[in-house]
Amino acid sequence: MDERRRRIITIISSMSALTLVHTLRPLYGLEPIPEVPPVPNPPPPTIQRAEALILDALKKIPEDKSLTMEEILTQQSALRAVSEQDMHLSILDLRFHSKIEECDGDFPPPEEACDHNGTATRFRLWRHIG
Amino acid sequence: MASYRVKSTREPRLNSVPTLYPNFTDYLWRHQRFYARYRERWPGTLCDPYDLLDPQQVKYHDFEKLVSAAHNVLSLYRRINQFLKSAPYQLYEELGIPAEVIYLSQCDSPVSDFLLTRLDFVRSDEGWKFLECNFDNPGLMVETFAINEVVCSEIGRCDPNRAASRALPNRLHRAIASAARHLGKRVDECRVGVCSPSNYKRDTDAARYVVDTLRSVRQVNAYHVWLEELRADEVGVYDWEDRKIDVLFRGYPLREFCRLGIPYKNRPNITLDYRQLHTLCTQRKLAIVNTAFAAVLESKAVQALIWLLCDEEMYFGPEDRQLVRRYMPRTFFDRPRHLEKFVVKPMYGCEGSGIRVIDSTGNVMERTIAKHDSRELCVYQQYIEIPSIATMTEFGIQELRFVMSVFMVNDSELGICYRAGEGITDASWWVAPVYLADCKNDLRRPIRKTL
Repeated sequence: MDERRRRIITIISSMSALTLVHTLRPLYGLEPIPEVPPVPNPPPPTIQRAEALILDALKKIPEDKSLTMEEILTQQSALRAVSEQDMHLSILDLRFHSKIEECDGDFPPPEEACDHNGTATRFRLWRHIG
Repeated sequence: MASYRVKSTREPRLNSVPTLYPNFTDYLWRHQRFYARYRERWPGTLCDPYDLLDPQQVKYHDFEKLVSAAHNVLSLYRRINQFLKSAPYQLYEELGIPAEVIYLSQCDSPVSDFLLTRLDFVRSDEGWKFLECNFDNPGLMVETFAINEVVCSEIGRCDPNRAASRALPNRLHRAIASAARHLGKRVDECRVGVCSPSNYKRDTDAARYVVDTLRSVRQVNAYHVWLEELRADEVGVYDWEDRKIDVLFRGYPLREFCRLGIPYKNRPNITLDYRQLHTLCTQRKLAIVNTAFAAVLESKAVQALIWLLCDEEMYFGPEDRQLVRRYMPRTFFDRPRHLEKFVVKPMYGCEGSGIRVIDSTGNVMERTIAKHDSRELCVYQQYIEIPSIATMTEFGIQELRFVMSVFMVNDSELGICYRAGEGITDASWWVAPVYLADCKNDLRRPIRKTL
Protein backbone atom coordinates (compact mmCIF):
# COMPACT_ATOMS: atom_id res chain seq x y z
CA MET A 1 0.00 0.00 0.00
CA ASP A 2 1.13 3.56 -0.77
CA GLU A 3 4.10 2.12 -2.61
CA ARG A 4 4.25 4.74 -5.29
CA ARG A 5 4.00 7.50 -2.74
CA ARG A 6 6.93 6.03 -0.80
CA ARG A 7 9.08 5.74 -3.93
CA ILE A 8 8.35 9.37 -4.83
CA ILE A 9 9.18 10.56 -1.30
CA THR A 10 12.50 8.70 -1.53
CA ILE A 11 13.35 10.46 -4.80
CA ILE A 12 12.34 13.87 -3.44
CA SER A 13 14.31 13.32 -0.25
CA SER A 14 17.44 12.77 -2.31
CA MET A 15 17.00 16.12 -4.06
CA SER A 16 19.15 19.03 -3.10
CA ALA A 17 18.04 20.75 0.08
CA LEU A 18 18.16 24.07 -1.75
CA THR A 19 15.45 22.97 -4.14
CA LEU A 20 13.16 21.98 -1.33
CA VAL A 21 13.47 25.21 0.60
CA HIS A 22 10.39 27.31 0.18
CA THR A 23 11.66 30.40 -1.57
CA LEU A 24 10.36 33.80 -0.59
CA ARG A 25 11.92 35.51 -3.55
CA PRO A 26 9.06 36.58 -5.82
CA LEU A 27 9.58 35.42 -9.39
CA TYR A 28 7.54 36.60 -12.33
CA GLY A 29 3.89 36.25 -11.51
CA LEU A 30 4.60 33.98 -8.58
CA GLU A 31 3.15 36.15 -5.92
CA PRO A 32 -0.41 35.14 -5.12
CA ILE A 33 -2.80 37.85 -3.97
CA PRO A 34 -2.82 37.44 -0.17
CA GLU A 35 -5.87 35.99 1.54
CA VAL A 36 -5.75 38.49 4.40
CA PRO A 37 -4.76 42.18 4.36
CA PRO A 38 -0.95 42.27 4.27
CA VAL A 39 -0.89 45.46 6.39
CA PRO A 40 -3.22 46.80 9.09
CA ASN A 41 -5.95 49.26 8.17
CA PRO A 42 -5.05 52.10 7.99
CA PRO A 43 -1.57 51.20 6.80
CA PRO A 44 1.49 52.71 8.51
CA PRO A 45 2.39 56.18 7.14
CA THR A 46 5.44 54.94 5.20
CA ILE A 47 3.33 52.40 3.34
CA GLN A 48 0.50 54.89 2.76
CA ARG A 49 3.01 57.26 1.21
CA ALA A 50 4.57 54.52 -0.92
CA GLU A 51 1.15 53.37 -2.13
CA ALA A 52 0.18 56.94 -3.06
CA LEU A 53 3.39 57.37 -5.05
CA ILE A 54 2.96 54.04 -6.88
CA LEU A 55 -0.65 54.87 -7.76
CA ASP A 56 0.37 58.33 -8.87
CA ALA A 57 2.95 56.89 -11.26
CA LEU A 58 0.45 54.39 -12.72
CA LYS A 59 -2.29 57.02 -13.09
CA LYS A 60 -0.02 59.12 -15.27
CA ILE A 61 0.35 56.48 -17.96
CA PRO A 62 -2.28 55.64 -20.62
CA GLU A 63 -4.78 52.87 -19.86
CA ASP A 64 -3.13 50.40 -22.19
CA LYS A 65 0.35 50.80 -20.69
CA SER A 66 2.06 49.29 -17.68
CA LEU A 67 5.26 49.88 -15.72
CA THR A 68 7.92 47.70 -14.16
CA MET A 69 8.98 48.40 -10.58
CA GLU A 70 12.19 49.93 -11.90
CA GLU A 71 10.21 52.31 -14.12
CA ILE A 72 7.99 53.27 -11.19
CA LEU A 73 11.10 54.01 -9.13
CA THR A 74 12.50 56.15 -11.94
CA GLN A 75 9.32 58.21 -12.08
CA GLN A 76 8.95 58.53 -8.32
CA SER A 77 12.44 58.99 -6.98
CA ALA A 78 11.02 59.50 -3.45
CA LEU A 79 10.25 55.78 -3.45
CA ARG A 80 13.96 54.98 -3.37
CA ALA A 81 13.97 55.99 0.30
CA VAL A 82 11.37 53.31 1.10
CA SER A 83 12.77 50.01 2.38
CA GLU A 84 12.49 46.92 0.17
CA GLN A 85 10.15 45.24 2.64
CA ASP A 86 7.79 48.24 2.80
CA MET A 87 7.76 48.42 -0.99
CA HIS A 88 6.87 44.75 -1.13
CA LEU A 89 4.05 45.24 1.40
CA SER A 90 2.77 48.31 -0.46
CA ILE A 91 2.51 46.36 -3.71
CA LEU A 92 0.78 43.45 -1.96
CA ASP A 93 -1.65 45.80 -0.22
CA LEU A 94 -2.52 47.58 -3.46
CA ARG A 95 -3.08 44.23 -5.15
CA PHE A 96 -5.11 42.95 -2.21
CA HIS A 97 -7.44 45.96 -2.51
CA SER A 98 -7.66 45.50 -6.31
CA LYS A 99 -6.12 48.88 -6.96
CA ILE A 100 -3.29 47.59 -9.12
CA GLU A 101 -2.56 44.31 -10.83
CA GLU A 102 0.29 42.36 -12.30
CA CYS A 103 0.04 42.17 -16.04
CA ASP A 104 1.72 40.79 -19.04
CA GLY A 105 2.70 44.00 -20.78
CA ASP A 106 1.56 46.79 -23.02
CA PHE A 107 -0.56 46.82 -26.09
CA PRO A 108 0.64 47.08 -28.77
CA PRO A 109 3.70 45.32 -27.40
CA PRO A 110 7.16 46.83 -27.67
CA GLU A 111 9.55 45.25 -30.14
CA GLU A 112 11.77 43.90 -27.38
CA ALA A 113 8.91 42.30 -25.49
CA CYS A 114 9.87 39.09 -23.80
CA ASP A 115 7.65 36.39 -22.34
CA HIS A 116 10.39 34.57 -20.50
CA ASN A 117 9.73 33.57 -16.92
CA GLY A 118 12.51 35.89 -15.82
CA THR A 119 10.89 39.04 -17.22
CA ALA A 120 10.38 41.82 -14.69
CA THR A 121 6.85 41.92 -13.35
CA ARG A 122 4.79 44.78 -14.74
CA PHE A 123 2.02 46.63 -12.97
CA ARG A 124 -0.92 48.74 -13.99
CA LEU A 125 -4.09 50.04 -12.41
CA TRP A 126 -6.67 47.32 -11.85
CA ARG A 127 -9.18 47.11 -14.68
CA HIS A 128 -12.80 46.58 -13.88
CA ILE A 129 -15.28 45.17 -16.30
CA GLY A 130 -18.28 47.37 -16.97
CA MET B 1 -7.36 16.79 -29.28
CA ALA B 2 -9.73 19.49 -28.24
CA SER B 3 -12.92 18.06 -29.64
CA TYR B 4 -15.41 18.51 -26.91
CA ARG B 5 -18.72 17.79 -28.50
CA VAL B 6 -19.34 14.45 -30.12
CA LYS B 7 -21.75 14.84 -32.96
CA SER B 8 -25.01 13.40 -31.75
CA THR B 9 -27.01 11.13 -33.99
CA ARG B 10 -30.12 11.96 -32.02
CA GLU B 11 -32.58 14.47 -33.41
CA PRO B 12 -34.47 17.04 -31.35
CA ARG B 13 -37.84 15.76 -30.26
CA LEU B 14 -39.61 18.53 -32.09
CA ASN B 15 -42.95 16.76 -32.38
CA SER B 16 -43.35 15.41 -28.90
CA VAL B 17 -41.80 17.92 -26.52
CA PRO B 18 -43.39 21.35 -27.20
CA THR B 19 -46.51 20.48 -25.30
CA LEU B 20 -44.41 19.68 -22.25
CA TYR B 21 -42.02 22.62 -22.57
CA PRO B 22 -43.69 25.77 -23.86
CA ASN B 23 -40.37 27.46 -24.75
CA PHE B 24 -38.94 24.47 -26.54
CA THR B 25 -39.83 25.50 -30.10
CA ASP B 26 -38.48 28.96 -29.45
CA TYR B 27 -35.25 27.38 -28.15
CA LEU B 28 -34.84 25.32 -31.33
CA TRP B 29 -35.54 28.29 -33.60
CA ARG B 30 -33.16 30.59 -31.78
CA HIS B 31 -30.37 28.06 -32.01
CA GLN B 32 -31.08 27.32 -35.65
CA ARG B 33 -30.96 31.04 -36.49
CA PHE B 34 -27.65 31.48 -34.63
CA TYR B 35 -26.22 28.43 -36.37
CA ALA B 36 -27.29 29.68 -39.81
CA ARG B 37 -25.52 32.98 -39.18
CA TYR B 38 -22.23 31.68 -37.77
CA ARG B 39 -21.64 28.11 -38.96
CA GLU B 40 -19.46 29.35 -41.84
CA ARG B 41 -17.23 31.24 -39.46
CA TRP B 42 -16.63 28.35 -37.04
CA PRO B 43 -17.52 25.18 -38.96
CA GLY B 44 -15.57 22.90 -36.62
CA THR B 45 -16.94 24.40 -33.45
CA LEU B 46 -20.58 24.84 -34.43
CA CYS B 47 -21.15 21.39 -35.87
CA ASP B 48 -24.90 21.55 -35.45
CA PRO B 49 -27.41 24.16 -34.25
CA TYR B 50 -27.41 22.71 -30.75
CA ASP B 51 -23.68 22.56 -29.92
CA LEU B 52 -24.17 25.52 -27.62
CA LEU B 53 -26.63 25.80 -24.77
CA ASP B 54 -28.40 29.03 -23.92
CA PRO B 55 -26.03 31.55 -22.31
CA GLN B 56 -25.76 31.25 -18.54
CA GLN B 57 -25.47 34.16 -16.16
CA VAL B 58 -22.57 34.69 -13.77
CA LYS B 59 -22.72 37.24 -10.97
CA TYR B 60 -19.90 39.72 -10.79
CA HIS B 61 -19.22 38.71 -7.19
CA ASP B 62 -18.79 35.07 -8.30
CA PHE B 63 -16.62 36.13 -11.20
CA GLU B 64 -14.28 37.99 -8.86
CA LYS B 65 -14.03 34.93 -6.60
CA LEU B 66 -13.23 32.84 -9.63
CA VAL B 67 -10.48 35.28 -10.64
CA SER B 68 -8.96 34.90 -7.19
CA ALA B 69 -9.31 31.09 -7.17
CA ALA B 70 -7.76 30.74 -10.63
CA HIS B 71 -4.92 33.08 -9.76
CA ASN B 72 -4.14 31.15 -6.59
CA VAL B 73 -4.23 27.75 -8.29
CA LEU B 74 -1.97 29.07 -11.04
CA SER B 75 0.48 30.36 -8.42
CA LEU B 76 0.71 26.80 -7.02
CA TYR B 77 1.42 25.48 -10.50
CA ARG B 78 4.10 28.11 -11.00
CA ARG B 79 5.79 26.89 -7.83
CA ILE B 80 5.56 23.23 -8.81
CA ASN B 81 6.91 24.15 -12.25
CA GLN B 82 10.01 25.55 -10.57
CA PHE B 83 10.28 22.41 -8.41
CA LEU B 84 9.95 20.00 -11.34
CA LYS B 85 12.64 21.83 -13.30
CA SER B 86 15.10 20.94 -10.54
CA ALA B 87 13.87 17.37 -10.19
CA PRO B 88 15.79 14.27 -11.35
CA TYR B 89 14.73 12.08 -14.26
CA GLN B 90 13.50 9.31 -11.91
CA LEU B 91 10.82 11.58 -10.52
CA TYR B 92 9.41 12.25 -13.99
CA GLU B 93 9.45 8.52 -14.66
CA GLU B 94 7.74 7.78 -11.38
CA LEU B 95 5.11 10.40 -12.18
CA GLY B 96 4.34 8.48 -15.36
CA ILE B 97 5.49 11.19 -17.80
CA PRO B 98 6.24 9.53 -21.17
CA ALA B 99 9.92 9.39 -22.17
CA GLU B 100 9.45 11.55 -25.27
CA VAL B 101 7.71 14.27 -23.24
CA ILE B 102 10.53 14.21 -20.64
CA TYR B 103 13.11 14.43 -23.42
CA LEU B 104 11.47 17.36 -25.22
CA SER B 105 10.63 19.17 -21.99
CA GLN B 106 14.37 19.57 -21.33
CA CYS B 107 14.62 22.06 -24.23
CA ASP B 108 15.27 25.57 -23.07
CA SER B 109 12.14 27.38 -24.16
CA PRO B 110 11.86 31.12 -24.74
CA VAL B 111 8.15 31.06 -23.96
CA SER B 112 6.31 30.80 -20.66
CA ASP B 113 5.02 27.33 -19.82
CA PHE B 114 1.75 29.01 -18.85
CA LEU B 115 1.08 30.74 -22.15
CA LEU B 116 -2.07 28.72 -22.77
CA THR B 117 -3.73 27.82 -19.50
CA ARG B 118 -7.23 26.56 -18.95
CA LEU B 119 -8.34 25.52 -15.49
CA ASP B 120 -11.58 23.69 -14.71
CA PHE B 121 -13.51 24.60 -11.58
CA VAL B 122 -16.75 23.49 -9.98
CA ARG B 123 -18.89 25.39 -7.54
CA SER B 124 -19.09 23.73 -4.12
CA ASP B 125 -20.38 24.67 -0.66
CA GLU B 126 -16.84 25.81 0.16
CA GLY B 127 -16.54 28.03 -2.93
CA TRP B 128 -14.87 27.26 -6.24
CA LYS B 129 -12.98 23.95 -6.32
CA PHE B 130 -10.32 23.23 -8.90
CA LEU B 131 -10.80 19.99 -10.84
CA GLU B 132 -8.01 19.86 -13.37
CA CYS B 133 -5.76 21.83 -15.65
CA ASN B 134 -5.14 21.97 -19.39
CA PHE B 135 -1.79 23.49 -20.33
CA ASP B 136 -0.73 21.45 -23.34
CA ASN B 137 -3.48 22.09 -25.87
CA PRO B 138 -6.22 23.65 -23.82
CA GLY B 139 -9.00 24.04 -26.38
CA LEU B 140 -12.17 26.11 -25.90
CA MET B 141 -10.39 29.27 -27.09
CA VAL B 142 -12.92 29.93 -29.85
CA GLU B 143 -15.91 29.24 -27.58
CA THR B 144 -14.52 31.35 -24.73
CA PHE B 145 -13.47 34.39 -26.69
CA ALA B 146 -14.94 34.62 -30.19
CA ILE B 147 -18.30 32.91 -29.71
CA ASN B 148 -18.94 34.28 -26.24
CA GLU B 149 -18.41 37.81 -27.56
CA VAL B 150 -20.91 37.27 -30.38
CA VAL B 151 -23.50 35.68 -28.08
CA CYS B 152 -23.23 38.46 -25.48
CA SER B 153 -23.50 41.08 -28.20
CA GLU B 154 -26.61 39.42 -29.65
CA ILE B 155 -28.40 39.29 -26.31
CA GLY B 156 -27.11 42.74 -25.28
CA ARG B 157 -25.41 41.54 -22.11
CA CYS B 158 -21.98 42.22 -20.67
CA ASP B 159 -19.24 39.83 -21.82
CA PRO B 160 -17.07 38.83 -18.83
CA ASN B 161 -14.33 37.74 -21.24
CA ARG B 162 -14.00 41.02 -23.03
CA ALA B 163 -10.92 42.26 -21.18
CA ALA B 164 -9.17 38.92 -21.66
CA SER B 165 -10.14 38.87 -25.31
CA ARG B 166 -8.49 42.28 -25.75
CA ALA B 167 -5.37 41.17 -23.87
CA LEU B 168 -4.93 37.88 -25.72
CA PRO B 169 -3.29 39.32 -28.90
CA ASN B 170 -0.68 40.99 -26.73
CA ARG B 171 -0.06 37.78 -24.77
CA LEU B 172 0.41 35.73 -27.93
CA HIS B 173 2.51 38.41 -29.62
CA ARG B 174 4.88 38.53 -26.67
CA ALA B 175 5.36 34.78 -26.94
CA ILE B 176 6.18 35.06 -30.64
CA ALA B 177 8.48 38.02 -30.01
CA SER B 178 10.30 36.00 -27.38
CA ALA B 179 10.63 33.05 -29.72
CA ALA B 180 11.97 35.36 -32.45
CA ARG B 181 14.61 36.77 -30.12
CA HIS B 182 15.57 33.23 -29.11
CA LEU B 183 16.13 32.41 -32.78
CA GLY B 184 18.10 35.61 -33.29
CA LYS B 185 15.54 37.09 -35.66
CA ARG B 186 13.20 40.05 -35.79
CA VAL B 187 9.50 39.31 -35.33
CA ASP B 188 8.70 40.38 -38.90
CA GLU B 189 11.37 37.99 -40.22
CA CYS B 190 9.77 35.00 -38.51
CA ARG B 191 7.37 32.70 -40.26
CA VAL B 192 4.84 31.44 -37.71
CA GLY B 193 3.04 28.25 -38.72
CA VAL B 194 -0.01 27.57 -36.58
CA CYS B 195 -0.51 23.89 -37.03
CA SER B 196 -3.53 21.64 -36.53
CA PRO B 197 -4.49 18.16 -37.73
CA SER B 198 -6.94 18.15 -40.65
CA ASN B 199 -9.22 15.53 -39.09
CA TYR B 200 -9.99 17.62 -35.99
CA LYS B 201 -12.09 20.50 -37.20
CA ARG B 202 -12.45 22.05 -33.79
CA ASP B 203 -8.67 22.31 -33.50
CA THR B 204 -8.62 23.90 -36.94
CA ASP B 205 -11.04 26.60 -35.80
CA ALA B 206 -8.80 27.23 -32.78
CA ALA B 207 -5.67 27.39 -34.97
CA ARG B 208 -7.35 29.86 -37.32
CA TYR B 209 -8.45 31.93 -34.36
CA VAL B 210 -4.81 32.08 -33.20
CA VAL B 211 -3.73 33.12 -36.71
CA ASP B 212 -6.34 35.92 -36.81
CA THR B 213 -5.39 37.02 -33.30
CA LEU B 214 -1.69 37.16 -34.17
CA ARG B 215 -2.38 38.97 -37.42
CA SER B 216 -4.33 41.62 -35.54
CA VAL B 217 -1.03 42.66 -33.98
CA ARG B 218 1.59 44.32 -36.13
CA GLN B 219 4.48 42.50 -37.78
CA VAL B 220 3.53 38.88 -37.22
CA ASN B 221 3.64 36.68 -40.31
CA ALA B 222 1.32 33.92 -39.07
CA TYR B 223 -0.62 31.43 -41.13
CA HIS B 224 -2.40 28.13 -40.71
CA VAL B 225 -0.76 24.89 -41.76
CA TRP B 226 -2.10 21.35 -41.59
CA LEU B 227 -0.09 18.93 -39.51
CA GLU B 228 -0.06 16.49 -42.43
CA GLU B 229 1.55 19.10 -44.70
CA LEU B 230 4.61 19.60 -42.52
CA ARG B 231 7.92 18.32 -43.81
CA ALA B 232 11.33 18.34 -42.16
CA ASP B 233 15.04 17.93 -42.71
CA GLU B 234 18.10 18.40 -40.49
CA VAL B 235 17.84 22.18 -40.89
CA GLY B 236 14.22 22.78 -40.05
CA VAL B 237 10.51 22.24 -40.56
CA TYR B 238 8.76 23.35 -43.75
CA ASP B 239 5.24 24.09 -44.98
CA TRP B 240 3.50 22.83 -48.14
CA GLU B 241 5.41 25.33 -50.32
CA ASP B 242 8.74 24.32 -48.85
CA ARG B 243 9.00 27.54 -46.87
CA LYS B 244 10.92 27.18 -43.62
CA ILE B 245 8.82 27.65 -40.49
CA ASP B 246 10.61 29.49 -37.69
CA VAL B 247 7.99 29.23 -34.99
CA LEU B 248 5.73 26.20 -34.90
CA PHE B 249 2.60 27.02 -32.93
CA ARG B 250 1.16 23.60 -32.20
CA GLY B 251 -2.58 23.19 -31.85
CA TYR B 252 -2.09 19.57 -31.00
CA PRO B 253 -1.10 17.55 -27.90
CA LEU B 254 2.65 17.01 -27.66
CA ARG B 255 2.34 13.24 -27.24
CA GLU B 256 0.41 12.94 -30.48
CA PHE B 257 2.95 15.19 -32.13
CA CYS B 258 5.71 12.81 -31.02
CA ARG B 259 3.74 9.73 -32.00
CA LEU B 260 3.13 10.89 -35.57
CA GLY B 261 6.46 12.66 -36.19
CA ILE B 262 7.08 14.87 -39.22
CA PRO B 263 7.97 13.18 -42.54
CA TYR B 264 11.31 14.06 -44.10
CA LYS B 265 11.20 16.22 -47.24
CA ASN B 266 12.94 13.81 -49.55
CA ARG B 267 12.13 10.56 -47.75
CA PRO B 268 8.47 10.79 -46.69
CA ASN B 269 8.49 7.25 -45.29
CA ILE B 270 10.96 8.37 -42.59
CA THR B 271 9.84 10.80 -39.92
CA LEU B 272 11.58 13.34 -37.76
CA ASP B 273 11.19 11.97 -34.25
CA TYR B 274 11.22 13.72 -30.88
CA ARG B 275 15.01 13.48 -30.51
CA GLN B 276 15.58 15.24 -33.83
CA LEU B 277 12.88 17.77 -32.97
CA HIS B 278 14.76 18.40 -29.71
CA THR B 279 17.98 18.93 -31.70
CA LEU B 280 16.29 21.49 -33.98
CA CYS B 281 15.05 23.36 -30.92
CA THR B 282 18.36 23.30 -29.03
CA GLN B 283 20.22 24.45 -32.16
CA ARG B 284 17.71 27.32 -32.36
CA LYS B 285 16.58 26.37 -35.83
CA LEU B 286 13.01 26.08 -34.64
CA ALA B 287 10.96 27.34 -31.70
CA ILE B 288 7.87 25.49 -30.57
CA VAL B 289 4.90 27.19 -28.96
CA ASN B 290 3.26 25.91 -26.72
CA THR B 291 6.24 24.67 -24.71
CA ALA B 292 6.92 20.98 -24.23
CA PHE B 293 6.98 21.47 -20.47
CA ALA B 294 3.30 22.39 -20.61
CA ALA B 295 2.68 18.70 -21.37
CA VAL B 296 4.51 17.73 -18.16
CA LEU B 297 2.43 20.13 -16.09
CA GLU B 298 -0.80 18.82 -17.59
CA SER B 299 -0.25 15.34 -16.15
CA LYS B 300 -2.74 14.53 -13.38
CA ALA B 301 0.26 13.20 -11.42
CA VAL B 302 1.30 16.80 -10.81
CA GLN B 303 -1.87 17.31 -8.76
CA ALA B 304 -0.97 14.26 -6.67
CA LEU B 305 2.60 15.58 -6.32
CA ILE B 306 1.32 18.94 -5.06
CA TRP B 307 -0.75 17.12 -2.40
CA LEU B 308 2.16 14.86 -1.45
CA LEU B 309 4.46 17.87 -0.92
CA CYS B 310 1.68 19.58 1.03
CA ASP B 311 1.10 16.55 3.31
CA GLU B 312 4.81 16.05 3.90
CA GLU B 313 5.28 19.79 4.55
CA MET B 314 8.01 19.90 1.93
CA TYR B 315 8.71 22.74 -0.49
CA PHE B 316 5.39 24.56 -0.08
CA GLY B 317 5.13 27.15 2.68
CA PRO B 318 2.17 27.46 5.09
CA GLU B 319 0.29 29.92 2.82
CA ASP B 320 0.68 27.66 -0.19
CA ARG B 321 -0.47 24.63 1.80
CA GLN B 322 -3.54 26.60 2.82
CA LEU B 323 -4.27 27.30 -0.86
CA VAL B 324 -3.84 23.62 -1.74
CA ARG B 325 -6.34 22.59 0.96
CA ARG B 326 -8.77 25.32 -0.01
CA TYR B 327 -8.92 24.82 -3.75
CA MET B 328 -7.63 21.39 -4.70
CA PRO B 329 -9.46 18.12 -4.08
CA ARG B 330 -7.19 15.55 -2.39
CA THR B 331 -5.32 13.54 -5.00
CA PHE B 332 -3.28 10.38 -4.33
CA PHE B 333 -0.76 8.24 -6.18
CA ASP B 334 -2.08 5.07 -4.57
CA ARG B 335 -5.61 3.89 -4.12
CA PRO B 336 -7.04 5.49 -0.96
CA ARG B 337 -8.65 3.15 1.59
CA HIS B 338 -10.32 5.83 3.69
CA LEU B 339 -12.47 7.56 1.05
CA GLU B 340 -16.05 6.40 0.47
CA LYS B 341 -16.03 7.61 -3.09
CA PHE B 342 -13.17 8.62 -5.33
CA VAL B 343 -12.36 9.23 -8.99
CA VAL B 344 -9.73 7.26 -10.90
CA LYS B 345 -8.10 9.41 -13.59
CA PRO B 346 -5.44 8.38 -16.11
CA MET B 347 -2.38 10.69 -16.17
CA TYR B 348 -3.11 12.01 -19.62
CA GLY B 349 -6.79 11.29 -19.99
CA CYS B 350 -8.62 13.79 -22.14
CA GLU B 351 -12.31 14.30 -22.84
CA GLY B 352 -13.07 12.08 -19.86
CA SER B 353 -11.40 9.00 -21.32
CA GLY B 354 -10.70 6.23 -18.81
CA ILE B 355 -12.26 8.07 -15.85
CA ARG B 356 -14.14 5.95 -13.27
CA VAL B 357 -15.96 6.85 -10.07
CA ILE B 358 -15.42 4.10 -7.49
CA ASP B 359 -16.87 3.48 -4.03
CA SER B 360 -14.99 2.15 -0.99
CA THR B 361 -15.84 -1.46 -1.86
CA GLY B 362 -14.37 -1.10 -5.33
CA ASN B 363 -17.63 -0.91 -7.25
CA VAL B 364 -17.57 1.27 -10.33
CA MET B 365 -20.39 3.78 -9.86
CA GLU B 366 -19.80 5.83 -13.02
CA ARG B 367 -17.51 5.51 -16.00
CA THR B 368 -17.05 7.15 -19.38
CA ILE B 369 -17.61 5.34 -22.63
CA ALA B 370 -14.36 6.69 -24.11
CA LYS B 371 -11.63 4.08 -23.69
CA HIS B 372 -8.11 4.88 -22.61
CA ASP B 373 -4.80 3.06 -22.66
CA SER B 374 -5.20 0.79 -19.62
CA ARG B 375 -1.40 0.60 -19.15
CA GLU B 376 -1.24 4.30 -18.33
CA LEU B 377 -0.76 5.06 -14.64
CA CYS B 378 -3.66 6.64 -12.77
CA VAL B 379 -4.18 9.00 -9.86
CA TYR B 380 -7.01 8.80 -7.32
CA GLN B 381 -8.93 11.94 -6.57
CA GLN B 382 -11.44 12.79 -3.89
CA TYR B 383 -14.93 12.88 -5.43
CA ILE B 384 -16.39 16.35 -5.76
CA GLU B 385 -20.11 16.58 -6.40
CA ILE B 386 -20.68 18.65 -9.52
CA PRO B 387 -23.81 20.81 -9.16
CA SER B 388 -26.70 20.04 -11.52
CA ILE B 389 -29.21 22.49 -12.94
CA ALA B 390 -32.37 21.83 -14.96
CA THR B 391 -31.44 23.20 -18.36
CA MET B 392 -33.15 23.39 -21.73
CA THR B 393 -31.43 21.38 -24.45
CA GLU B 394 -32.46 20.16 -27.90
CA PHE B 395 -33.85 17.08 -26.13
CA GLY B 396 -36.01 19.08 -23.74
CA ILE B 397 -35.22 20.04 -20.16
CA GLN B 398 -32.40 17.96 -18.68
CA GLU B 399 -30.64 17.89 -15.33
CA LEU B 400 -27.09 18.85 -16.36
CA ARG B 401 -23.87 19.11 -14.40
CA PHE B 402 -21.96 22.37 -14.92
CA VAL B 403 -18.18 22.80 -14.93
CA MET B 404 -16.59 26.23 -15.30
CA SER B 405 -13.61 26.49 -17.62
CA VAL B 406 -11.26 29.38 -17.00
CA PHE B 407 -8.82 30.53 -19.68
CA MET B 408 -6.08 32.57 -18.02
CA VAL B 409 -4.62 35.57 -19.85
CA ASN B 410 -3.54 38.02 -17.14
CA ASP B 411 -4.20 38.69 -13.45
CA SER B 412 -7.67 40.14 -13.80
CA GLU B 413 -8.16 39.12 -17.38
CA LEU B 414 -9.51 35.65 -17.84
CA GLY B 415 -12.06 34.11 -20.10
CA ILE B 416 -14.74 31.80 -18.80
CA CYS B 417 -17.32 29.48 -20.25
CA TYR B 418 -19.41 26.65 -18.91
CA ARG B 419 -19.47 23.08 -20.06
CA ALA B 420 -22.52 21.06 -19.18
CA GLY B 421 -23.66 17.51 -19.54
CA GLU B 422 -24.60 14.29 -17.83
CA GLY B 423 -22.24 11.91 -16.02
CA ILE B 424 -18.51 12.47 -16.28
CA THR B 425 -17.20 15.41 -18.31
CA ASP B 426 -16.51 14.14 -21.80
CA ALA B 427 -16.77 14.96 -25.47
CA SER B 428 -20.56 14.79 -25.45
CA TRP B 429 -20.91 17.78 -23.13
CA TRP B 430 -22.33 21.06 -24.37
CA VAL B 431 -20.63 24.43 -24.16
CA ALA B 432 -22.62 27.26 -22.59
CA PRO B 433 -21.59 30.88 -23.18
CA VAL B 434 -21.69 33.18 -20.15
CA TYR B 435 -22.71 36.77 -19.47
CA LEU B 436 -22.41 38.98 -16.43
CA ALA B 437 -25.78 39.17 -14.71
CA ASP B 438 -25.20 42.31 -12.73
CA CYS B 439 -23.12 44.41 -15.05
CA LYS B 440 -24.46 47.94 -14.67
CA ASN B 441 -23.00 49.41 -17.82
CA ASP B 442 -23.73 49.04 -21.45
CA LEU B 443 -21.81 46.32 -23.26
CA ARG B 444 -20.25 48.73 -25.74
CA ARG B 445 -18.77 50.91 -23.05
CA PRO B 446 -14.98 50.53 -22.94
CA ILE B 447 -13.30 48.88 -20.00
CA ARG B 448 -12.47 51.60 -17.53
CA LYS B 449 -10.00 51.97 -14.75
CA THR B 450 -11.41 52.57 -11.32
CA LEU B 451 -9.76 53.12 -8.02
